[in-house]
Amino acid sequence: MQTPPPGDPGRYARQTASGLISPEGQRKLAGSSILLVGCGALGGPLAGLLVRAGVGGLVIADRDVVELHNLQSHQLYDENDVRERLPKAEAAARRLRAINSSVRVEALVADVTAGRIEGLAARADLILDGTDNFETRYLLNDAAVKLGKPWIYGGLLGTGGMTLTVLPGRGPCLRCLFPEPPAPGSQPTCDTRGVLNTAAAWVTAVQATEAIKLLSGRESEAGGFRILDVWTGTAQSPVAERKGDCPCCGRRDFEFLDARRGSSATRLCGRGAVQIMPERPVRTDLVLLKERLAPLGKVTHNGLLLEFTAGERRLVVFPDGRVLVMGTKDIAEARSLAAKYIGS
Amino acid sequence: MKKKIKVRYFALVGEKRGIQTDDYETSASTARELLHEIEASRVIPLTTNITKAVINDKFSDWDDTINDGDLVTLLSPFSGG
Repeated sequence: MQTPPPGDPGRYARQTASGLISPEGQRKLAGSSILLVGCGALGGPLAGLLVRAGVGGLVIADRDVVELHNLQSHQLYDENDVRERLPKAEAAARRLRAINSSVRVEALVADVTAGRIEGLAARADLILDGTDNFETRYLLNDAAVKLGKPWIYGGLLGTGGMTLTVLPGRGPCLRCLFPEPPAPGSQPTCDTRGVLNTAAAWVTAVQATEAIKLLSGRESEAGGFRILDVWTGTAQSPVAERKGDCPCCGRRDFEFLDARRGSSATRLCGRGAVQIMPERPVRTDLVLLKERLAPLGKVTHNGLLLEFTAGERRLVVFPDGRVLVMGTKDIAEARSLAAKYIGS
Repeated sequence: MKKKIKVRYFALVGEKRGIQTDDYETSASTARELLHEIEASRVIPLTTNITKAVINDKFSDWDDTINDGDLVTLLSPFSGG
């Protein structure tokens, strides 16, 4: 049996037959451009769903490499990607091009920083959150609101998930609901508290559905905040409103985008280490952090600082929130490790 | 006069998992007082650093009042992905 050519509209017949995506809507999808920041437990399934649905173009930015423990929750990757130590963005692009060759997929193996985000966001119709840390999300929020682009937040932990569809000018932005990012080290992460791959599947289904609404001409039906729990199989949609005095969408003070907020990372010359300084000293509960990290590896706390060994890297955490990542000079890798184990 | 409310939260550790809805009696007047009361008494196991309250399915401020019969969800944004 011959495979229909990738551009064949019959390929999407079941979507258009649903009546929810008209042939015109399908055409709009095919003309859309998406920026996906982060391609892990959320980003992978998101990319897969939307590429199969026939979006036009996808830029995937991710700073990480595929590792064995990712395969539990990262739907796009396999053992071959682990063996080849492929960067996630690259492994994702290969898989997605094989799924739908009519979608333009671009892989960017890089940290999305204040300096990079505007240029990337300007080219996109929609920004999708597949990140694993708060800092990048507040940066995405600033960029999206400043440029007037919609973006869809997704977050995971344990059996739960949350999503927020931000429609600048029409609804609340991330800072309307959560004005300040949680302090580094103050929240558990998927590495310290775990995550079910089924929670990721549900959150991404919601994010992708919202994306399809926005990109196929059904913008008026998109929006809102959702709390999902896959263990009890329940969802809530608390009402979230714009705040007139919101620092981001109200006062338009884009302090994360301007790099006036956010941590700073520097390579320590000659030491093979990266230092990450929080934006201001933050009292970090090293006793609680030690408790969270203990099941994951060797961790010691001598009352003055905490040391945690993660493979070939060592993380040193100080009571004022400063983090030293020993054994690497790669800032993106250091930030990634801090996000996983300490939370950022 | 104690108010009878329900408190909803994610149980990340312990025997019960997933989103829980517990009956709770409180003398707190505001969401902030309620959170401090729960954190101090530890009757409800909050395993994340709570940064937001939702009262009867509407995002609230910490100074908002708690009334008899309210459903209060205590949460903080999830970072995982």
